[in-house]
Amino acid sequence: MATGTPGNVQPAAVAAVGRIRGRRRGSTRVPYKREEVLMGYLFVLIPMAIFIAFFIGAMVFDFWISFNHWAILDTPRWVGSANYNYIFHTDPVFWTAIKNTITYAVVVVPIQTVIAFMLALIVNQNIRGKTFFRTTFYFPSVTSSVAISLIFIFIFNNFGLLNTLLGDISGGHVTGANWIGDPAYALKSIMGLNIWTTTGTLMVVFLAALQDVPREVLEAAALDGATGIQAIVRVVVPLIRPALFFVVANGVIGTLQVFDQAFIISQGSGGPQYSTMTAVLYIYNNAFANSYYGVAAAASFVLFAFIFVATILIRRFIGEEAA
Amino acid sequence: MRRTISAVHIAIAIVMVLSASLILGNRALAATPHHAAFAGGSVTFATWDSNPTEKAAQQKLVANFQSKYNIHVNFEVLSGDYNAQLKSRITAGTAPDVMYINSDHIRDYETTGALKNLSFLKNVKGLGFPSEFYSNLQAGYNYKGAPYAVVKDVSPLALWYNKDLFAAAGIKGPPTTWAQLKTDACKLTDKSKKITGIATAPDPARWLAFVQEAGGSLLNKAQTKATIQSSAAVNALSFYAGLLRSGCAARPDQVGGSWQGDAFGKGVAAMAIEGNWLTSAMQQTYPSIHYGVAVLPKGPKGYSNLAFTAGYAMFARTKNLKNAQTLLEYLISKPGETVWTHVALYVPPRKDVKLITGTAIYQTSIKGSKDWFFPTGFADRALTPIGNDIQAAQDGKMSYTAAVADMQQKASAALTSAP
Repeated sequence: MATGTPGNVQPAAVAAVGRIRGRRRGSTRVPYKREEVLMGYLFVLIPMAIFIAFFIGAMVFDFWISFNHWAILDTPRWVGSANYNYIFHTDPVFWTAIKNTITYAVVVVPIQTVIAFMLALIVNQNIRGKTFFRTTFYFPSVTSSVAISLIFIFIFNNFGLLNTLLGDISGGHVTGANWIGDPAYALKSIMGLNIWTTTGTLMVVFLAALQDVPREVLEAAALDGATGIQAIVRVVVPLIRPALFFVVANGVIGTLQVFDQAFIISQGSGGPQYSTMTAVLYIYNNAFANSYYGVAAAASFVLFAFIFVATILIRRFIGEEAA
Repeated sequence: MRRTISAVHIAIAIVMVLSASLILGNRALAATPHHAAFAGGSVTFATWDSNPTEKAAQQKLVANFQSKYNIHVNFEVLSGDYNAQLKSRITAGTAPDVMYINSDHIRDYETTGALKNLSFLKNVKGLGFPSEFYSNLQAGYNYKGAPYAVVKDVSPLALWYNKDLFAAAGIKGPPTTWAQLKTDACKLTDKSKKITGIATAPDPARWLAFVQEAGGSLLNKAQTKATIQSSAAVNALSFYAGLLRSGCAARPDQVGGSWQGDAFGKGVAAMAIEGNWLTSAMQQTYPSIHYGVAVLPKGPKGYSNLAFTAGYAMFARTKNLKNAQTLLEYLISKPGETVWTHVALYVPPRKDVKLITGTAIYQTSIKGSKDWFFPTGFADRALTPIGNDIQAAQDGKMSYTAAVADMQQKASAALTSAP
């Protein structure tokens, strides 16, 4: 936060924010003993071995396969950059998938972040039954996304719960859309379902961060004459910046990897008319349905690059540290 | 110092115990399938997930086999994407000994040596292979003159019609021509009751029957070229998609059904074109619907159909060769096929197995039908894009000729194995 433009917030609160930040920074490094180092490595030995074999090893293999033609039952054959050519120039579905995925991330991340933050603010108040609300908001997050998707198939059905409700409330004047059967609405329906599901988890992250905000800072802000919204925007948000980074970065990574909802609702096809074809579903279909493992590997590397760049950008704009 | 070293020792000990238990645990797990109760050892048999009636038939087959041969069957249902799971297990060398293979995917397996050559079955006395099998049904499962799977049943398409809705609309019997189908569908459609005349999914596995009835085809006989671009296909598309455009048909999801059979069973589609896999669903899930089943209406070039089959195959690198052979021989034998087709209500592929009542219509429908085999990878790569084109034509987003031209391009691309 730029200290040169405190706006309506008076210096006392700004100074308090600075003090809190200073407190978090101080950690001094003590050199470890040799035995302690050895012990540390021993403890992480098995997880590291698993990580290297199944993550790093798989990634290296994936990179190699992306330059091969491989239908899993045959032996890989070197094809150079043909797989990358295929996804960039030959197969229009890849760009549809990328476009859908980016649209999805751009819509879902801001909405779910704002809603989660507002829910966290609400359940952080001393209101009656706050435990009930916390549980209710968090409940979708602990339910399996497959089960939720199946339930939403019934809700979004052309004559399902949602459209029946719309019809009844409006006295028959509103006929809802064919939510998952119409290409114009299918992706939007999945967006809604996903926002509903993940908001709870994100709310818990925000809630934990909010409870870490010292009361004296808020009191100082109030004394300085900050209104409720000013206190939230200028005091609370900067203080919970690590949580904000976590929520946005994970939101972007998660939405760019959206798969299960699209897979179940479209029964694996990405339909109707590829409107729910996401990047990961494209990868899945090319590998496991089309047996184009090289294409799938190439596409997953492109997706990796997207996520990598997106994460770096978020880091630059929000910043991990409460700085 | 002493304390730290002993802690290191403890850590090492923990690591060793953990890894030892992992290794031993795996061995113990691998050793369990040997059932003491079965002297003949065991064999693994895998199927895809299916309806309760099929499951009952599979369980009966397994039970009969176990008691007759004293060999334990590890019965596996690979739920979800069957081919994806099977392919990964074949690559890992842990595929089931005997398994189901669907006609549209068998080339993927045959051409890569994943399946056992089943020519030995011809020498098994009293088995009747291949003499008792309808040769046109078995033909697709042969590769370079040798069988790599044995056909287990056949299901062509039929026209299912709701007798109550027909009576209410004053229609005497099921339509027998395309023109009648359209007139009836329009008569049966009742928007106020949310009932559509016929459920028409944008599914090539339904629409291609109409293409054939108009005299067209998807691929040439050798399956080396796409032949869908034809006036026959345009005719078939303008009829099939035109039904929906004119409001006399609907996709299942538009009337609240998950598939054509579901829309028909719920009574929101007066007609549906499905195979007799729908029979058990009608009996168990939708018993209140009075329905009839008729042969498909005739097209401009007469009558045609699609015959869907599946087969039993054996893993090429099976470690239980003898038991796998015994199981396969039982499954395709007259008693095995009798159990399967009589419990699951299918048309048997063997001439010596009696047809179960009510399935005669399917047997008649097999005549003049084309089977559902495709070159390696084609089914997965081509059928979804073709389905998308059908839907675009239904919604008027694509003209019939443009949709068919696009199908030609997609099918040709799917024939050449890209990168």
